Amino acid sequence: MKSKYQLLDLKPFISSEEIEEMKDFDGLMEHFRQAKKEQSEVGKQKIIFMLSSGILAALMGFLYHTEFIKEPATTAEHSDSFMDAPWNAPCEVVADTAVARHQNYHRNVDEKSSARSIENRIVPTPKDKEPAPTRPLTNEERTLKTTEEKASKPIYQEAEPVLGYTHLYEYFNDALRYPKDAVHDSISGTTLVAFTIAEKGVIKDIRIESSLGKSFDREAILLIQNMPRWRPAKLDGNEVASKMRIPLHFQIKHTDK
Amino acid sequence: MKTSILYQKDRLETPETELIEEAKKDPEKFEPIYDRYFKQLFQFVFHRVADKSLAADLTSQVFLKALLNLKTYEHKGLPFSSWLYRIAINECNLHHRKSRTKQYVVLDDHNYNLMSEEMDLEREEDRILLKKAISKLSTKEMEVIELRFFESLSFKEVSKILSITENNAKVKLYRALDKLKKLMNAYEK
Repeated sequence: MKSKYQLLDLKPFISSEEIEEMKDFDGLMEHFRQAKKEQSEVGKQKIIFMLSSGILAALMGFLYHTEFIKEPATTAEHSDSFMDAPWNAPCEVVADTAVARHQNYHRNVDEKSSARSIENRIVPTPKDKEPAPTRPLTNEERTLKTTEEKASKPIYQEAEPVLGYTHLYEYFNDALRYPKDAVHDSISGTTLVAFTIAEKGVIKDIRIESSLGKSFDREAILLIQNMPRWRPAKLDGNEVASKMRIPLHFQIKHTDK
Repeated sequence: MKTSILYQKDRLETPETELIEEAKKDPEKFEPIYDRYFKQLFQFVFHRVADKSLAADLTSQVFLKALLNLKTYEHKGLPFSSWLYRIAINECNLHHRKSRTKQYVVLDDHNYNLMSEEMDLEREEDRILLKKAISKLSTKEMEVIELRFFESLSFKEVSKILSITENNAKVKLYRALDKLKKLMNAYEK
């Protein structure tokens, strides 16, 4: 290891007079004022930087907020068909909960009705025909507004069942019947139904987007036609038509056999 | 000699804290403190760098930093010089690191006698062995020896300058001396 020190046998000499001459308080003060000035300039720059960052952040926040509110209106104006992914997201959470609840309820059924057949065969119907397990329904929401809103920040309110989603799920649970003529096939799966909630809350344009078979389609359409009333979507307080897509889950219950 | 010590003591006992408080409000009032400690600090730095103009620059830097940070200084019963020493040590170390130069250590008769007394060194050849051993000390070990022996500061002051406790300062010093003794014994063999 190299030594960090240089040893001296004698103190390096300097006279007291020389030391006195080295004193320069005025020079020190000059340096001090200069350093202070630099410090304050750096301080000012920091303040300016912080202020500008703050303003920028506020501006970005404002722009983001504006965009966020505008988004539904934009979708309504430009999308003529169906909802896109973002619209589905919040509804799926609700749907998942309902699905979980329902799955739990019908666990026994699931265990006994796992076999699936593709062929259409007629199977004697069981004596006791209970309604097929219904699938609580996930409901996905999607809306499409027909009104042309010119307001810069339209406020959009989604369509919702008059009696609330819980009631709607209960209805689906109770009313969804597993089609009798499909019992022998033991098909279980999801039918995707699309429909429009018109300005007055009337359900129309019911379409099957993903089919499990004719009997399932009929059942699904019947279910949707008779479901509880909906409160139409509103854009800036005006009622607008909106499109919805709801998956109906058909699962056979052992009592159906 | 006695009178000069007394005179110095009298000067130290003048209300230094008041001067500092005044200087905090008006930097121009820092002059009496500058006058009081300039020589002491200059010599401390000069012995480490052995260059007059460099020592003058570094000392000036020490006082500038002290002035710029004067508001953070709190009087804790020790002379203001303790604070200045701390800044000076940092400045010197910074200089040595930057310029990659060696620090000078003065082991003149005065300093050697102080150390030999503490370490019970009596033989003539011990001085050569001690010089050899000192060159192996770390910066921290050297600092505590310099402050305690060469600057004749109290353990209390040494501890404040090095930001350690008084006991730790003692421990560090005696460990450094032990290390020196062991190194000297090793060199002797």
